[in-house]
Amino acid sequence: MSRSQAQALILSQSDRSTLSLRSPGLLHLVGLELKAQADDLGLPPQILRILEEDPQRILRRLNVSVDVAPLLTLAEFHEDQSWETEALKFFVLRGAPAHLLRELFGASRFEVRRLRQQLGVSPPPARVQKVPEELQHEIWLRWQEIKDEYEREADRWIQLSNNYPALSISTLHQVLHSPDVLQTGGRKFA
Amino acid sequence: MSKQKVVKRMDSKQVGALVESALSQQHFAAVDPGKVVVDGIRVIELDVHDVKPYEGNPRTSTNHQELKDSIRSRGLDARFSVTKRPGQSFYITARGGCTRLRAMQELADEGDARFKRMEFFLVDYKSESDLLAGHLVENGKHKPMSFWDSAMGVVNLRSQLEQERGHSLSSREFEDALAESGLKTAQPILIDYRYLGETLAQLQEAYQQSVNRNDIRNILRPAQTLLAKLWEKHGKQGSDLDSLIRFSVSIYQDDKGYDPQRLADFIEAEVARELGYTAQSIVPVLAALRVSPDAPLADLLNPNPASVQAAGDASNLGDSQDGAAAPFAETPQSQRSDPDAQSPTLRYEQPAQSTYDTEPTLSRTGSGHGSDSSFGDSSVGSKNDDNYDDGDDGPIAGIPGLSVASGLTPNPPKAKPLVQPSSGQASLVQHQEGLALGFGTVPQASSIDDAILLILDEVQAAADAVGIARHVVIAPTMPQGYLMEVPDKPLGSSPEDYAVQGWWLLAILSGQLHPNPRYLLDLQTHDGKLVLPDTGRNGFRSRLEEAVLLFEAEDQQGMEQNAWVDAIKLFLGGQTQDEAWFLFEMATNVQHPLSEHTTTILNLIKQLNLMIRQEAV
Repeated sequence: MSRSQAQALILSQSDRSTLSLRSPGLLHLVGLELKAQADDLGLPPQILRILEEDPQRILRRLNVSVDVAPLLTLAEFHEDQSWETEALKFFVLRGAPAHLLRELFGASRFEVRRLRQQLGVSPPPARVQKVPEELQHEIWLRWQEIKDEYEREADRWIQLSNNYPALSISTLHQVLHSPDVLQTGGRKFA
Repeated sequence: MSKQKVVKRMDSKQVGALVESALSQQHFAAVDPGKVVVDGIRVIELDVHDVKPYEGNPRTSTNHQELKDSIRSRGLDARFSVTKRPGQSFYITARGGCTRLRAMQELADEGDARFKRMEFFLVDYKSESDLLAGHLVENGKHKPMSFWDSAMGVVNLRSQLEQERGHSLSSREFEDALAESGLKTAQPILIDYRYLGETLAQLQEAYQQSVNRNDIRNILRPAQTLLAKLWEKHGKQGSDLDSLIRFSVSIYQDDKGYDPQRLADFIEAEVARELGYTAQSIVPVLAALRVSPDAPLADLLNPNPASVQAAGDASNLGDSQDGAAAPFAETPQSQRSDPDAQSPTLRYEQPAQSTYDTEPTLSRTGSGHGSDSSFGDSSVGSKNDDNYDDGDDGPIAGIPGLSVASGLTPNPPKAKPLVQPSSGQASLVQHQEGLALGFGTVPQASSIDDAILLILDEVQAAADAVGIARHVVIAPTMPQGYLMEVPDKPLGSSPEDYAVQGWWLLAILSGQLHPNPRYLLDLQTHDGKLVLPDTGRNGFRSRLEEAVLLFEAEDQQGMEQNAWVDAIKLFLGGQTQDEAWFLFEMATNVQHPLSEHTTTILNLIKQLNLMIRQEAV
C-alpha cells in the first residue's frame, strides 16, 4: 500500500487516539468476520441476510475504528527517550555542570563520566569563563524570551547554549545564577 | 498588548542535529566573547555587490541555503564587518559574514530590494593575518566550524604570521599571537591542528570534513608514533617516514567512506611494505613494540608467545597451535638484506604445551629477573603452575605472559570479558564455588597492624600474580595502606587483560577511586593538602592534584581530568570499570585467577574494620 493510499484510508481523526479507516479490502474482511461471528455477536437475522445477499449495502455504511493509543504512547515514550539521549549528549558536549545534568536528567556521575568518555570531552573546569556585564545582560534578556518560548527546562538551556556557542553551559548557568543577575533581574546592566 | 505565550518543545531530531553540530565544533573560542566587536567601528552603507567575500575564509562547509532562507524571512540580524585592502577598489568581509554576504547578493539579484544596499561596519585593514584571525574568531561565534576548517584556518594563520614576521614562531609565541588576535586555544589542540596540517592536509576533499580531533588523538597519531619507533629501529630517517605517510594519506581511498581506523591501517600497510613486512606480519611486531617500546628490534621480531597472545586476533595464534604455519613466517626484506642485523628471521616458538584454550597460567613480575618489583618473590604467581620455570633466562615457552629474559614487560594473558549475569557466562555455581573456596583459606589477623600487613601481603601477591606489583605503592594514609600507581606503559590492550583487571581491582579495593577522595587529603590542615607519597609527575598523586582542587571548588567531576582519562585510554584497558559489579564479579567468579585474592583481601579488610571498630569502642 502506498503512502497516499494509506493516508486516504484515514477518513477522520475523531480524537487523538482513534482512527477511522475504510478500505474495500478491510471492509470485505469485516463482512466475513461479521458473518462468521454473527451468532456470537448476536446480530439480527436481517443483517445476516443482507450480508449474504448484498454485502455492499451494509459495508458501505460501516466505519472501522482503530484505537491507536498504545501506539501513540509507545511512540511518545520512544521519542522522549531519544530526546533525552540526544539532549544529554548535547549538554555534555557543551560543558554543562554535573549538578545540572543530575537536576534535568537524573544522570548519575557514572553515566556522565561514561558519556564524556564516549564523546571524548573533558569535564567543564570549575572556574567558568568571565563574561562582560553587557553580555550578561544580553544573556539574561535572551533567557527571559526563551523561558516563554520553551516548555521544558532542558530545551531552554539547549536553545540558550545554541545562541551562545562560545560559552559553555556552565558559564551560562553561572551568569544566570550570579548574585548580580539574581538580585537585579538583569536590570543592573540595562 | 499582552504577549502571546508560545510554548515549544524540541524534538529528538532537532537536538540530534545540534549534537552533530556540537561534535564537529571548533576547538577554540573568542578570548572574550563580549569584546569581539572591535572598538572604533564605523558604519558604512554599500551596494552588496561592492563587497566580496574574503577569499581565505577558513569555513569551507556552509549552510548556505538555510541561511539564505532565514535572511529572506527574518532579514539580517546584525551588521557585519567589511574592510578594504590598501590599493583595492572593493571591500571584503573582515570578520566572518561570507555566507551571509553571498546570500544577500543572491537575494538582491532575485529582486529583493531590502538587500540591494546594506549597512556594514567598516574596520581598518591591518594585515592578512589579522583578517584571517578575524574570520576565525567570528566563525567561532556563530555556527561552529568543522575540525578540519578550524585546524586549517589556524595552520594557515600560523604560516601567515610567520611570513609577516619573517621568522618561524615557537609554540608559545604562536599561542600568544592567537590570544592577541582574539583567539584562545590550548597547546594540545594546537598540536592536533599542526598534525592535521602537516600530515593530513592532502587527504581527499571528500573526506576532510569527516575528520575529527578524536581521530587524531586516539587513532592516527598514536599509530604514527608507533610506526615511527619501528621505523627508527630499522635505522631509517624520520623525515622519510613523514613523506611516506603524507603520500599514503594523499592516495587513501575508501569505498565505504572515510574511516580513521581504516586510514591508519592503510598507512600501516604502506609503511609495512616499505620496511619489508606484509600488512599482516607487521601487526604482531607493532603489538610487541607497543608493550615494550625500548626493546631491541630483535626481541620484537622474535617475541615470546605471550606477546603474540597480546597481539590479539591479528596474530593468528590458532594456526600456530595446531602446528600449521607460524604467524611470523616472513622475514622483512630490510632484515634479509642486512646479514648483521639481530635476529633477522621472524620466528615463532611453539608453546611447550597447548595451554591457550584452558585457563591461562598466571604471569608475574620477575623478582630475581631484573624486575623493579620491590615486593619480593611471591610464590602466588606459580601456585597453580607446574610449568613455572624459575631458572631459565630465556623466553619460557608455554607460559603466556612471561618474558623475563628479554626485558619485555610481562604481558599477561587475557581473561574472558567480565559480563553481566544475563549473558550466562558467570554461573551461579561458579560464584558459589568462589565463595566457598575464597573464604576458606583466609589468614587471621592478630592486631590492626597485623591486618594491614596481611592486606599488603595479599595485595602484593595479587599484583604479582598478574605482573603489576611495581605499580603498588605503600601509602599509609589510604584506608588499606596502599594505592595503585598509574602505569607508564599499557598494562594490556583491553579490559580483558588480567593485568588491567588486576589494576582496577586493587585500585578499587584501595579506596583511591572513591568519588570523594577524602582519604587522599590531610583533613587536619586547613588547605586539605594531599598526603599521598609523591611518585613523580606521572604518578597518581599528580593526576589527582588538580582533581582535588576541583573537587574542593565546585565540580565533583574533577577526577576526570584529561591526564587521568588519557591514562585510562592508553594504559588501563580503555575504560573505567563499574566498581560494584567489577568487584562482585572478581570476588565470586572462581575461574578468575584473582578471585581467591579478592575474597582474601575483602575478608582481611573486614577483619581490619572490625578491629578498628572494637578499638574505638
